[in-house]
Amino acid sequence: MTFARQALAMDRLRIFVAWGAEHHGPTHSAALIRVGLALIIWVRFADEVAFFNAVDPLFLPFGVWMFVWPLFALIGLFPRVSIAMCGIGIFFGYFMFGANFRLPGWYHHHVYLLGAACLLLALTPCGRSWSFERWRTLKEADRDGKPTPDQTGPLWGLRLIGLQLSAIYFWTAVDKTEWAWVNGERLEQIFVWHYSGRALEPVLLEPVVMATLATLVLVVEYALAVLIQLRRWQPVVLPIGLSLHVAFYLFLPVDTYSITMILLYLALIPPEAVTRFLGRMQGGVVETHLR
Amino acid sequence: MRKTVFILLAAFILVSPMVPQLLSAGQPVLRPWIMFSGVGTGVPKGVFTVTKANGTQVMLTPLEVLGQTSYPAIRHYMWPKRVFTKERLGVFAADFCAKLPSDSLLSFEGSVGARKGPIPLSHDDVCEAGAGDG
Repeated sequence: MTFARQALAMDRLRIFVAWGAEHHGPTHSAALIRVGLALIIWVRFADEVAFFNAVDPLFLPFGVWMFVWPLFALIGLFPRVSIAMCGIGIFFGYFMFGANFRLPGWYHHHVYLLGAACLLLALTPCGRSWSFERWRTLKEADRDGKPTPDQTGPLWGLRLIGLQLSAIYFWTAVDKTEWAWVNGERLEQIFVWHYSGRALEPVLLEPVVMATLATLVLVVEYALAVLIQLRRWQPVVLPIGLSLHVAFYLFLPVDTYSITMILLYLALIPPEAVTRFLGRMQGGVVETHLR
Repeated sequence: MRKTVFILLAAFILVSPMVPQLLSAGQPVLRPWIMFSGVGTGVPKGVFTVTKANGTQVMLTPLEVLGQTSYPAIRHYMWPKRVFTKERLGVFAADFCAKLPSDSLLSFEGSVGARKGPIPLSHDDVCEAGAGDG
């Protein structure tokens, strides 16, 4: 590699690091993701980790863990710790029950995504807005006659969540990059399992429909992998991505995958834009706390 | 410090799926993103044919042989009747074979779902092997 190329590569790396590690802004989108993740965790795991499903006594503390920490994350009590504990609990289940004991449903991509999102969100001050912590900070400021603390902070965790979304799109597209996917055969297998004998079978199992859908999904996933990171393209590609996940939800049993991806799109939108929007919706209340 | 951690985490997120997906290694620590690639594997697609003693033939779909109107709404890898070899067709059709007159023959011509797309599969006497294994 020539010196000029090395310099160019280093320059690109510096830009990338500045874009990610130095990302700073309002914390409202991080707080919304925290609240959303806590609710999704309950929806996904409540039935499996509740006491009535605990055959082994060891499940009981795990059940308590998976109910209490999401509750704390939801209301914003020890918000960064609680969302991190949610992630640790999810990965404990992923490896212990999924990878180790092979219990159905635990070793799934949507479980990994939930756990990863929690851990990455813990890298942000996700409790600085809409939390018990925020309420306590305001109360202390009022009592001491100090100015209202702002709601901004380092948001590099949101950048990492955004990169996680890109990685998912890219690598799932890589997995589909073969003739058996493009010609619809692999999609046919999926539809044979889920749609044989069901109302949409005559439509979905048409070879032309399957090949068209398969190719469309492949192209969209490759495009999303890159374009969701580019602000200029976001107004076009984010609605396409959201539509894709709604379609997945309607056509396939994706568990919490679609709703988690949709929630995590908040990490892609500039946090200032999210805060401005919320401020307008709430009559400017939120915006006033911006630095 | 934060910059270093960011680079390491970003590299892990972006590059680590390459190991399980392209090199087939690193699981379960490294996550491949191959959603739904296993769904439909082991599910036969094609025609089962019952040949009776008098030579008449009856064509049946896989679901008709199963005696079901649809595949069960469970996670696909929990379904014990998945077919990975032609001998496993006997497990798939075990209930049907149990009721099939001994002078009739059940054969299959078609394909079976696999991770990289369907593979052709045929068997002249499905009930001969594996019928009692299911």
